[in-house]
Amino acid sequence: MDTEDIELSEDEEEITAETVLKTLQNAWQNERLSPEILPHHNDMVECMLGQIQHMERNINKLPKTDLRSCIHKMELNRIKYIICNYLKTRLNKIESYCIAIVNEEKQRIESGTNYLTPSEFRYAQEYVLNMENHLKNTVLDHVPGNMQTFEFNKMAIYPNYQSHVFLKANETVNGIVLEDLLGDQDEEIDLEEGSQHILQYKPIADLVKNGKVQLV
Amino acid sequence: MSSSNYLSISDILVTNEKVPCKFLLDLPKMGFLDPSAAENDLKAGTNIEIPLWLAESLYTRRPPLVSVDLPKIYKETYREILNADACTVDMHKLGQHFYELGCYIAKHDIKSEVSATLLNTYRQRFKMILSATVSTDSINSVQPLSASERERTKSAVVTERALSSWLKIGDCPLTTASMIANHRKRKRAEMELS
Amino acid sequence: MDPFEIEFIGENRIVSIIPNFSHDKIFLICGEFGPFRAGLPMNVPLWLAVMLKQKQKCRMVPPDWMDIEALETIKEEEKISRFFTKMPHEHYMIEAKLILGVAAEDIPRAAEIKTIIKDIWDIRMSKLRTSMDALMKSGGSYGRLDHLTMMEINSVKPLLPQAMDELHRIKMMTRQTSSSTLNSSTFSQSGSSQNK
Repeated sequence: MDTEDIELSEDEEEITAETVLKTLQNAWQNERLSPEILPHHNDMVECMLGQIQHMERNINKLPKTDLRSCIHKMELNRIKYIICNYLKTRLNKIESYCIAIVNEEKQRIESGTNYLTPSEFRYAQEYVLNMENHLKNTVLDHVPGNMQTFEFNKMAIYPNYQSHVFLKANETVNGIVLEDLLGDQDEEIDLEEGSQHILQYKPIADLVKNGKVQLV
Repeated sequence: MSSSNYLSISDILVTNEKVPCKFLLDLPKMGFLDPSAAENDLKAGTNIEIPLWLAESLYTRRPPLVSVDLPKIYKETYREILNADACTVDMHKLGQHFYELGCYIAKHDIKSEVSATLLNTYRQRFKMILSATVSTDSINSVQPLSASERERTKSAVVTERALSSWLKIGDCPLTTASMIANHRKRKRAEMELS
Repeated sequence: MDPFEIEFIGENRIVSIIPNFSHDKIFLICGEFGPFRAGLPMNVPLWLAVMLKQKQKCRMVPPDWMDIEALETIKEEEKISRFFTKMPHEHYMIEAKLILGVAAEDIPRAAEIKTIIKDIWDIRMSKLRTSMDALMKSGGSYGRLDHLTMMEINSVKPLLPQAMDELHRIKMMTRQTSSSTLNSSTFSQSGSSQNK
């Protein structure tokens, strides 16, 4: 009954598995609820996958009837669900907004503020390329020569930054400006810690990224 | 910038709606546009309804070839009705694409009151979506909603169903006490008998 | 999100159980729990509590708030108040549904409690409808919704945010066109999609 095997060696890392899990959970929730793709948390994902492998090895050493075995398996399944769904959600966004994402990501890579992991970026680029080739092979190659030029960027679909989202403030943030399109009377609101709001994503996008608010 | 979509089918449908136009110049060999005309040429001053995409491109020429008039649902008479009580208007009959077409057409309104009417109408009619969502009639049954209002209702119904099936599932369904449900059933049974 | 996903999130909440077995501390990724001492109350995440209960390894300790008097007070306040009142916690409905589902026999007056909680939920849901209508009528570009729980917020998606998006789109499009009537840009390509 060596539960010690399953325990994390806390001196190895400064950050506990519990914190990693919480971060991932919040990242998953935000990714699900935000219109745009958010900066990746690859370090957290990798760390958790390592943790899961380690746990699984230990579970296999336990007798099948051991109560702990099914408790740990249940927890691992829950965590795997979060990770899978998180990565899938990101892939869905990459596919929907591929052209926009690839273009923006190229600029972000230059400034070292990339949102995508290297493999996600590769996936996005290939996806765009496949789409281009597909359009070329199925349509453009069969139309008259003077109609074959096609500005691919015109097909780009962008996430709607103006869409409305629900949020809960993790800490107080003052002076969020809500644009008034008709009256030119911009309104300013404060997000008190713990308060909940529905408003446009655009003015709070940065607050989602730096963790000051959580989408709900 | 916003969620524009090059391949949006609903947008293609909207821009295919016909709008009343007045031709400002004589157009040789364009008589076929006017089904009632016998001549080859289209005369200046002719009023016909043409699809919005065509109207727009003729309107934006310099000089413009047409002036675009408002379809009747956006005209003053209807605007007054809409502003008084937007919920009485049957958009299924009168304006399948009321908001979407309205957005395009608003700039042809000299008084620029269409925009306010669109917003006001949307705000007032939101409660129709709310009640259509909980109504027991199917969405396909005749309801005076526009196409996009129907879409909203449909997705709200999906949410509603998901939530009620969540509430029902499990060992302890958190739904109306069975007594009340039975009572209703009995009532209905009685009504059917009488 | 699907209600079951919200339930999944709510299942992380810590609840009290009384195990009928003894065991050392158990080290989960989400934290350490135990030691388990037969007959002594201890805290575990809700998902674990449900699992142990299903295996008949524990009794549930009724949460403090699952009390007829306390709930009656909440219900009355909810009825009187124009605003949403503060619920016992963010996932009260999930906790109630799961605990009353697997462990009704551990909760005194479970049937009555179930009815009151459902009453409170119904009052709040109908208030939510009225507030949505009021929010749209008052402008429909911003709303504050303190004390609504995640499951309740989820129940107005996508309707409310989409309606607000649509109002915004009408404002954008009619403003653009009225300020620049000479807009000769590619007309049929500037359309906005209704269904993303």
